[in-house]
Amino acid sequence: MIRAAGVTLIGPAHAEMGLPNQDALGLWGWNRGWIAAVCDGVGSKPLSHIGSRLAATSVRRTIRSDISWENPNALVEILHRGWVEALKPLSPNEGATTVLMAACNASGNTFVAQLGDGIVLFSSNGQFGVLTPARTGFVNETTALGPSTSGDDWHLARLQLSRPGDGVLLATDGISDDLQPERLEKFFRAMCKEMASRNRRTGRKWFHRQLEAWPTPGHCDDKTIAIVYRAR
Amino acid sequence: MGWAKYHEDNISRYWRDAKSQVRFPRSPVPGAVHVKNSPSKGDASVNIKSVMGEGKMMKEFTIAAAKPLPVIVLADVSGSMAENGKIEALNIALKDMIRTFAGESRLRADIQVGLITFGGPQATLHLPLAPCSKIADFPDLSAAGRTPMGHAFALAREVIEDRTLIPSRAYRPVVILVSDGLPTDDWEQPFEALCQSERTQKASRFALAIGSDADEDMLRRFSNNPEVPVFKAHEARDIHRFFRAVTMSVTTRTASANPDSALPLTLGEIPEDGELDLDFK
Repeated sequence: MIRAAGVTLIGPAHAEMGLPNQDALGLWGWNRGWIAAVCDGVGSKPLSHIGSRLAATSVRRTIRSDISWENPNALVEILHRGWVEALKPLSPNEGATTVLMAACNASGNTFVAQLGDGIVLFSSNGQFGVLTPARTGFVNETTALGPSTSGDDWHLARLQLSRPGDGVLLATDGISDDLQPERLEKFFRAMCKEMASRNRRTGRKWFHRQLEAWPTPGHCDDKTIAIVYRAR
Repeated sequence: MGWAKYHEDNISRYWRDAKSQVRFPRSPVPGAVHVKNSPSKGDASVNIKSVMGEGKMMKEFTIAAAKPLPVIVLADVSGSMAENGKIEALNIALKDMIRTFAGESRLRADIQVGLITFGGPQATLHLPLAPCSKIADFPDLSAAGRTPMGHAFALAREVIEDRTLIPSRAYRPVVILVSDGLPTDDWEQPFEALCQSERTQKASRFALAIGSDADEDMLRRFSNNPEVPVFKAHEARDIHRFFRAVTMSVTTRTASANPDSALPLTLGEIPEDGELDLDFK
């Protein structure tokens, strides 16, 4: 059984300034599986919160249109074009946003994609992995829908969630920047375990409490996390 | 956004809901201590503790320090700095800056300071990069010898490119060059390397020219912010004023919603609005 949970929480800095949460979260049931989208509007763009929400719905629309996963580049191009259309009359640069997405059907066949920062962790056939490449520069350097126009900027993978504990975790940089790199697998396993003991609603509440009590000093960014996993 | 079919385990849902009917006050302190007890079914106190303790869990997986904001000072300590109280003013200004950084409590970043001095035969890492709150003091700078500025550039590049010293979760570093003279070593090649290396080219660079003998052309090339000209110190107290301005700039940044906000976001080449030229082949 494939299950999912997620939550988005405005960061302390945006809350203090009365700004909107620039992250967006989408979780939709699909083919007895799930579609998850986690998008982070680029902070320097004042309307990026609109871009991030439209990117999440563009993920849903693209996956539900049953485009073949055999050509993932074509899929993300359709996603990108759909987002640009939905964003009008805003320009792509005004709505710049990162995109992390996962689509998993009932049999555990999963497609994951990432454009920009944040992190995508997964376990496929029992093997843990990180889709996200190591960052070489500094924080807040990211590509995004809008500035990026190349399929080469995307990181794509096909996974099989075949065993209990297999899953995909998507998180924006408000979370991923503060994670200990050497404990990513333990983090992923712990989140899967916690979610497996809860339903989606209580799982969301649990995530919410964790993000509200985020322990890293000085954290200020919006935080969004979603997990799609095989419960049994 | 919300939105999904519920196809979860109903038994699990109702079991959890039955427990959550009893609403406990949330801890006023985020991540209150989780006291582990031997749980017994139906014991409400156990449930309270487990709910309150959940915020603690992320501590196991997160970094217990704010994101670093490195400030690296390249300070000229050649013989000419001994004149007119310049080195004394620099000592006071640097210590004042570090003290102010350490005393700021509402910062969203961990300001770290490193000090590279150049005077005599070669540059020296006088103060390794460290959080201001942990820098108790450092030995006073003394001025003597020539001006090996090129070696100072090379040392600065080594520090910034070292990901164990400045991790990728750090904000872009600030590099400050203070000089009152011409470089006496081969500085062009290390300067180019500083300006073009993968990480160092992203640092914000400020320059202070002290006195009329300073190489202003070179210092102007060093400063990579066209809106910020090379600062000029005509007398010793101007050094202090410069560092106070740097201090204010850095603390304002680190207390803001986005400590990187004063710097341009690297998004690559941004196409003109309306233009859509995708490349997904």
